[in-house]
Amino acid sequence: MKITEPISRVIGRTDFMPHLPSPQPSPQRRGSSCFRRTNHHINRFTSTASDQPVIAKPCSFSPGEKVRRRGSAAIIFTAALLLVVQLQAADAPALKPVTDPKPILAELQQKMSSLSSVYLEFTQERQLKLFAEPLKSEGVMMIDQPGMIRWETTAPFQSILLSNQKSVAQFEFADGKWKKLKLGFPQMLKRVMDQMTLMHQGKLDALTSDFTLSVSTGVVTVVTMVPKDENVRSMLAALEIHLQPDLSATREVIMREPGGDLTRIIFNREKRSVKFPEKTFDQTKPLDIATIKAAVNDAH
Amino acid sequence: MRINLILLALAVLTGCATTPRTQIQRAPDSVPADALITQRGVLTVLGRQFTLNGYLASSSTNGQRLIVTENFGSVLADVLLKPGGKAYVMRSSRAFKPKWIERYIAADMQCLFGNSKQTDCPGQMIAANHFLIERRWYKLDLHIVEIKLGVQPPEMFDTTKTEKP
Repeated sequence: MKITEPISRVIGRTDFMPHLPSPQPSPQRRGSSCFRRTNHHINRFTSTASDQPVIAKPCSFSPGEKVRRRGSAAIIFTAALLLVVQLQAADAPALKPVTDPKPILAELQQKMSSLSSVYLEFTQERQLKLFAEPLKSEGVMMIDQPGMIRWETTAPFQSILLSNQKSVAQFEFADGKWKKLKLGFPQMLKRVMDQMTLMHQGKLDALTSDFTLSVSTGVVTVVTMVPKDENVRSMLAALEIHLQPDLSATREVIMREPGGDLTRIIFNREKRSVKFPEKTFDQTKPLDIATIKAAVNDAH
Repeated sequence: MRINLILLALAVLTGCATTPRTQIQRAPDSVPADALITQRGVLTVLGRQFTLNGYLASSSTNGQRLIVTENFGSVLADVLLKPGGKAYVMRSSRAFKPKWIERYIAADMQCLFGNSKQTDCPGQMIAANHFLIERRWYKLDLHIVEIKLGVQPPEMFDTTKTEKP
């Protein structure tokens, strides 16, 4: 269960309150007509129509009783908080760091090396602390041998990034037509694309010159890559690849920034060893995505 | 010969008669007062092109905040424009230095989305959601790709919450 509600609302719900002690009314106040914390009060969320608490008038408590009542409230609040924290902890995937990541990385590389190609549909969520909701975009990533990659954003705008062993290209769709861009810093973009290709081919050992790699296992297998270069680290604190426990598919990639912002790329649909139509990776006039999707879907 | 030289000198001193630069003409209420506006832009500098994403949070009372990111989401610039027109650079990057953000990004924001009257807005409004800004150092081809109406969180417009580049 994922808890995203404010704590005040969570505390107010009975399904999170079964272990909370019911405060007993103080003997000297028992029977008085003022409003007290009673079982009626605690159980107000499960009460029936006939089970109404009686609220006559506000109580006037002695200073000592006020302190005791504040103390009880604090205990209830702390207990509820602990319960919420426990629920969250129980919900979070229990991941255990692996002392020696080499065997898992080798297994990943071995599994991925048998693949000739991969097709992935993704949702990209940019989570900035400032925004209440993530900024979303959608797209498709395609990787084929030898070292070809196509990263296409399909919504809310259309853009294609293409890279092969020699070069990189970018196309933007605007005013009803595709336009090839005269890229600034193509080497930098190519490097990023090459790293993405290596990651998705499981060739993580090839990235060890740029990243420190660690692996955690559990509900998912997470490969965490921390950039070695301080300048890169000032922009990208860590990159996490979340895989199925059996390493059979990539679930998501998370790029964490030093300030707490992050980009999450969630892979919704994955097809492996796909035969892509001609010109899928063409850097002059790439094939449109609708035709590629149709070909990929027809093939399976 | 002497007359020609005088004419040439005059032309240099007074400036050649060129076509005046077109200015972006925008209706004051063309941008929703409370909304999150997503933009996609192609920035051309010295003949090279860079793609940018822009997320503009607009508030009818608190101003406007623009966050510019590159293809994979890294923040390149973050600027807050208060209703009076004062710009605050909230975050800069190696790609966009604070001065550049203040001088150009904030000025372009004023031209395209601002309420105060910005007079220097060279470029064209190609369509209601498509603008071309043409300044001496760069060209920005900007499309508005999504508008989500709604009041934006007031914390977004707090000038004290700046982040170091």
